[in-house]
Amino acid sequence: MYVSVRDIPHGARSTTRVPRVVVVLGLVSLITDVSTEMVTAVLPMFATLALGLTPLGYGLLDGLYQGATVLMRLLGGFLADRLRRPKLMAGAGYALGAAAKLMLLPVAGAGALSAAVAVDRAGKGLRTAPRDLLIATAGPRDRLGRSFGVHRALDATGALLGPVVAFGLLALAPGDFDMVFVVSFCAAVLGVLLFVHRVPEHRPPERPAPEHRVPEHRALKHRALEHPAPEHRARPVSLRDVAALLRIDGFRRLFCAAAVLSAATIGDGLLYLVLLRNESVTTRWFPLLFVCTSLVYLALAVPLGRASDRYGRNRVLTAGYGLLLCAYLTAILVDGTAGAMLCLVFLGAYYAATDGVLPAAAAPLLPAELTATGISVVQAAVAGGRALGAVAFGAVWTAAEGDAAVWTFAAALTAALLVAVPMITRSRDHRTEAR
Amino acid sequence: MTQLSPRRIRDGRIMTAIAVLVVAVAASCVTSSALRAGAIGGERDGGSVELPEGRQIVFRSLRPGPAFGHIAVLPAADVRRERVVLPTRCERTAASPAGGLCLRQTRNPILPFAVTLLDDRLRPGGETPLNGIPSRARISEDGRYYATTTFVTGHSYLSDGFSTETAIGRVGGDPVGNVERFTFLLNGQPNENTDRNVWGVTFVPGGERFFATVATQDRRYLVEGDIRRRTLTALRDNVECPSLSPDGRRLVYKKRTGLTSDVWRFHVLDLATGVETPLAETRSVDDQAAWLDDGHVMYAVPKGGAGGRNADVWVVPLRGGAPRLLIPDADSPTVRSPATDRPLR
Repeated sequence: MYVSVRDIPHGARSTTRVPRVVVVLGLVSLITDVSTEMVTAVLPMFATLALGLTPLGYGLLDGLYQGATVLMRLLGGFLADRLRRPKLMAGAGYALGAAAKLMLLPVAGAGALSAAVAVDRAGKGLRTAPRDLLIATAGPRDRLGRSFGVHRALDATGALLGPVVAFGLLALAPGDFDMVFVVSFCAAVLGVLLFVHRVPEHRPPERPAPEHRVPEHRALKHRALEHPAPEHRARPVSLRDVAALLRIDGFRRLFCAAAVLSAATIGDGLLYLVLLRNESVTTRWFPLLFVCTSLVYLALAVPLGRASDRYGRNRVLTAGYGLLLCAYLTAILVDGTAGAMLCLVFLGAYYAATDGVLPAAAAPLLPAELTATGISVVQAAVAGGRALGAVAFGAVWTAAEGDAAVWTFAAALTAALLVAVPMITRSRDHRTEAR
Repeated sequence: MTQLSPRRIRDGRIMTAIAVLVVAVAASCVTSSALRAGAIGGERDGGSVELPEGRQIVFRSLRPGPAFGHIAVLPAADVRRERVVLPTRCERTAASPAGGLCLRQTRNPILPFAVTLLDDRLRPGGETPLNGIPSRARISEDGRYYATTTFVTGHSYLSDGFSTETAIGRVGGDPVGNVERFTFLLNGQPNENTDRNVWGVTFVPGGERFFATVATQDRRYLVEGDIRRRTLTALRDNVECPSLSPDGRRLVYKKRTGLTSDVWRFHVLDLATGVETPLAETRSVDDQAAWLDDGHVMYAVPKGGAGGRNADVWVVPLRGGAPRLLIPDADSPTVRSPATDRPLR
């Protein structure tokens, strides 16, 4: 059986298939996201109605887990590289996610509930970087943007379907949360089965392929990685090798740019509140804002991924943050439903231009034996930056009026772009991008 | 990849078998759950049920089984009798002589909750959509007003807080609306804080007044509300979820004991003298208490600690005596005296 997405001829490039593994991984993510998001959608109801808890405790712990997820991501990336078993690590992550759904069935009390949520998040953190490594090594390097785009589009589809499935099931049997959890668990198991059976174990190259090597003219900037000879691969990677990653010029620039740019992001939930406050939308439509953003994201993930292969991943990445700036400005300047819609289109496009493009930009800059670690490091920088941005925006919002806070962040994002653009354009990898 | 070894083919068959099994488990679970929900779906014609005579305790029956969450009734004079379980399922309920209130989950995925008014025989009437997840329900003694408190999202900019929405409805009239929009008077001055949350309404019989909780800036206030003037006046702080006694002379509420710890104890306030007395219940209970009579307070306690899936209703006397179990497997209790039993005013 061949699952394939045929590449529509575009310009002078020849038609190539999206690697089968990428499509399978995308389908695994789709099923797993349906499973996870259907639980996330009903969890506030479950906690309040079935357990009689105030949403307060759950929300606080949720914030805590966001931080823990970053650590789990780094761990997942590092272990995948160290054990050289990315499939094992990602599989363990998917299995943990499935186990978490099962833990919800006998749940009673805030402690057990947060333990189940913690296990779920740990699984998600653990599997992200190894899975991205499997995507990054699956296809030709000049098509990485497209590969990640296909994966992220399928992933976003699952996230969109999850709540629909959950509320559909609750409509069949109001109040039967256990049934929703059982279905979620079954979906998670199907995801694990598909992953275990249809994704081949990653085989690291026996010898470093020539294109993985540091180009000669850049070698001087890579003292730390200059010495490792091919037999270096016999030794498992250590934490020192991870530290050495930041000495790779291009990767360091990408890392810093991603951190700076993401620290100037507001966070979706907060941006939706800006729209709510400006009375562009009413509370009733609040859940639909997320749906619109996701629809734009999943529609644009593949085209923008392909654009990143053609015109340069760092260019599309920076353009993505330009789109985010547009989202801020429309939120403040354009009134009414049209303004809200335009803002959401920009926000979705921002995600499409950054979420999958970032690992696609990072992977070619990294030595083969540290790809998963490197991807997790740069994703951690973005997650950390976003968390910082959200806290900072909350503080600015408390101190100033709503629009003033958004203006502040628009200015911060402009400044971040001015800092990041020169940094990032020089880290472009000429060997793996078409131009 | 296209060349499959015999072993891979065998593995593939095992995987397919497991996958089919998993899908079958999910499908049977959904089917049985939907059938169960359908079997108890004929809620509208629950008129044939005989309610007990005299004063009744109306509550939510949490006995495991198909009737989990259904409204049930016991005579207040003899709680050991077998409970009368009605066909209506609710998440929260409250009753008055003239009828009752039921906050329930609907089958509409866009508006998943609704308020249903119950008639004098506790049969459900028409329903109106409810914004948010139900938390508290109360109906006034004369049956003119009802109050709902729900948890909502999208009101606060930080995700780690919670927001409530408390609305007062008028039976057979225009709704009074969101109580958060009332003028909040703190130390006699209107307070304009936007982070205000209101919950836990208890109505004063025969009037336009009520008591409730207002939270702002990390403080919780007992307030007296006035529906006609649309005001909330702060009376004291560190107090939440008040409940007015049938004779209108006392309030029972949760009071935070210890400044840093989140431990709440029931206290009774004598409105005439201002004397506050702790009740004998030492557990930290998260419920809006209800009065069994002028001398006893009842409330739901989760089994196995906070966040348990089941609960019992306990009762504690105002003077002397330890709390005792009143109704096992139950929550959301209120007392009603059917209209015919009441002396004319």
